[in-house]
Amino acid sequence: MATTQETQRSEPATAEGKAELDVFRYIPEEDDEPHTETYEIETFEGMTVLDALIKIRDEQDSSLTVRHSCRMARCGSDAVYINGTQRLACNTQVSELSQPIDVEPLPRFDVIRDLVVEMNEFYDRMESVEPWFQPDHEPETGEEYLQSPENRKNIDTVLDCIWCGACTSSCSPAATDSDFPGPAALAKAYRFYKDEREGEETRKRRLEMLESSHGIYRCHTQFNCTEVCPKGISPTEAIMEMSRDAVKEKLRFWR
Amino acid sequence: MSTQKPSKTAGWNWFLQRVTGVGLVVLLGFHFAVEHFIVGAANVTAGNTVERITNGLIQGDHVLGQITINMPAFLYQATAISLLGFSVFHGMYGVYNVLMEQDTLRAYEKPIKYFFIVFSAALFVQGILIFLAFFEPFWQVYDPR
Ligand code: FES
Repeated sequence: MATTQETQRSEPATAEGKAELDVFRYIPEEDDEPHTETYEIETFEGMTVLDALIKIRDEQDSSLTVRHSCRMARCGSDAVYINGTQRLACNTQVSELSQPIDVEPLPRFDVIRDLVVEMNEFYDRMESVEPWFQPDHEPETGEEYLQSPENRKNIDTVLDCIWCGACTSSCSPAATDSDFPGPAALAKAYRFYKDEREGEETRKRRLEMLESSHGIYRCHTQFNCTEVCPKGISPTEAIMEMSRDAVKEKLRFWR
Repeated sequence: MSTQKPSKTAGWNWFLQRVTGVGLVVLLGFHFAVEHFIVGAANVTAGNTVERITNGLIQGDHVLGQITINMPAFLYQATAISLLGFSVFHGMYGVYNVLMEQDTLRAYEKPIKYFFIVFSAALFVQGILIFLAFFEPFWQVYDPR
């Protein structure tokens, strides 16, 4: 059984601190079907679900697979389904959860192994909105594209996206409509759509690109994505703003 | 999305879905007030329905006590026809969208779309025919009394 420094660093908070986790398990080479395994662990103060999973992997079952990297809610690699909600395992306190803690891979993503899901389809959705800076022309002064503080403020909210996929996993139209970019991609589209440095031409082209019944208008305004976003972003509001803008442009048909 | 073709009608449909949604809140509120709180569902008869539709006369003594409202007939008729149109559009477009969200049905997008257009038009026309049956030259067709 592997023991890493990760576990040794942590001191149990109290002798009686215990937690029970029901963890989704599936190793395609070994299992015919996914199943749940129950683990009991000693907890410590400040223990996150990711800490708990690492502890299980180190001390009880080295085959348990979970993707993680930064352990500080920055890389977005450990989004999982905890007690029925999409959350970052590294940003969820064990002490806040009712037990047994149910840990599953992100719903609506294909499972590669245990809690690790296939993210390529999600990245394709992200790429479909052309998430890169496309200015209409060269910067007016000097070599930099300067952005006004007010404009920066407009996109402040959506800039924090860490591509964890929690929102897209929670979105019902994204689950059944593979042409729908989903909340994360549309929030990313909004980030560029609102960036005035790109210019009016690109802004219009971006809006036209998103204007399809499988684009911005597919959103059900359920706010599931907003509720689960670990960074407090509201993709729904971004999508609604773009939808309203698109319709306002149509209503100004005399121009 | 760069692979999707932009739609000219999707924005209008989205807008109309919202407009009709708000309209339905108002119109259904009016409908419930009249049919369930003033007249009372059990007291809706062909006779007082004819009075409401042809003369705009709303009368009843149900939950809200004795009430008589004499609306301009055209206004009452406008609410009836708007309620019909709004509910057909809102309901049918909503169901159509739910179906079009399913990848498995995408191959049948065109036939499903035309089915909904024809079916919605048929529902609307049928509603209009029933509405017209309350007026003299047509009432023998249905004779609602
Ligand atoms: S491990 Fe990086 S966000 Fe959780």
